Amino acid sequence: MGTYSRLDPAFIAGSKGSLFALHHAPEHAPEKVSDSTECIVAIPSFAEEMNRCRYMQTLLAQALNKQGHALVSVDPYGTGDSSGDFAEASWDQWIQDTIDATHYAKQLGYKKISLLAVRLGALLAMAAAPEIENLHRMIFWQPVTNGKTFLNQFLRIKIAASMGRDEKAETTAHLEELIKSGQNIEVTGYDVSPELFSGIQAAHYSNHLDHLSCPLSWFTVLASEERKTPRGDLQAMEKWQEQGVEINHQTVIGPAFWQAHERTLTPELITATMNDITMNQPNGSTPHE
Amino acid sequence: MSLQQETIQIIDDVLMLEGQVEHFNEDTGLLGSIPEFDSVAVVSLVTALEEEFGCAFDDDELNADVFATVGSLTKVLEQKLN
Repeated sequence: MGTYSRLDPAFIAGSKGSLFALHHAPEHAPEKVSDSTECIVAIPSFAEEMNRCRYMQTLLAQALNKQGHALVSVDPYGTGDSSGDFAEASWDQWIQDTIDATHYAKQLGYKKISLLAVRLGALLAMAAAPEIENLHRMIFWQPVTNGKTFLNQFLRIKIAASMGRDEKAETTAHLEELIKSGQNIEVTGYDVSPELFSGIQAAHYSNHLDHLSCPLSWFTVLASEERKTPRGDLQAMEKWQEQGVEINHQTVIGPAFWQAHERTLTPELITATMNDITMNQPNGSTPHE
Repeated sequence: MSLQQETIQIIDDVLMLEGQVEHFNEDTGLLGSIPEFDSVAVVSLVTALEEEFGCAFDDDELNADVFATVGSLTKVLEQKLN
């Protein structure tokens, strides 16, 4: 850790059990916390992606601390070091955990609360946002906008894992049938309940078009100059803009850190995010072009 | 750029091979030959291909024959695009 940071771990009371919270506090917090100190509450992605994104989250926390801002992350119920098993997790529970995480940030003395949503976390953030008072801004990193498509890709991992092995090939249709009949399914070591599955499946950005009142900074990571922002994402942004939401979309060229099984960092994304945050601080530094 | 070259480019991007693909050709083995080519990588690759070419893979196309080599994968793509 750098000299500007302090790590305060804690267990906070969630609605179903205790949740593990990590507060990356800037130096001299809470004494020097002012109204302009921003606290970013991080909403993680799903299953293995959550672990893969932790390094990037920590890097951002360190960069924030350096500028006198804070980051709080709370492991949703059934994940990380929080209580409960993954199999007991549900989508509604995670929305509540997201809201509780922002309450914790307020309890720590922060007045300016923002959300950083990573991948599937974006759909949680959209659902939680209307319940969060005075939400300052939302930051999306490679957001998932369609829960159904995301789940399909997740189920495909199970099918792909059986490739080249001498077992009967699974199909996504069969896996969905199992879920519908009330059974849990296990994908890459994560036991997904029908409740969680149906919650993610129903999650879609279009359910939240008229509920967003804060500015949104949307970051897309592209592997190379040849790749483009997915068309579905551009459509989602357009629809929000039609509703009057202020969207700042930026693309960053770098590796897909949420997919790599080796530790992979995209420092360009940290820089772009920090620029965006400091640029929009009333008392903060102005951007340099 | 030929379809095969485009496919190789996308493999490079998704698997983060950082230019190792320079000497890739039709016969280059994928599944079982490249350590990075695990189940998550297969799904990421399929998603990237679907997005890039606006096509769809069926579940039964996620099999070892399709992902055996650069050539076998390109051939399946070619059939989809025609």
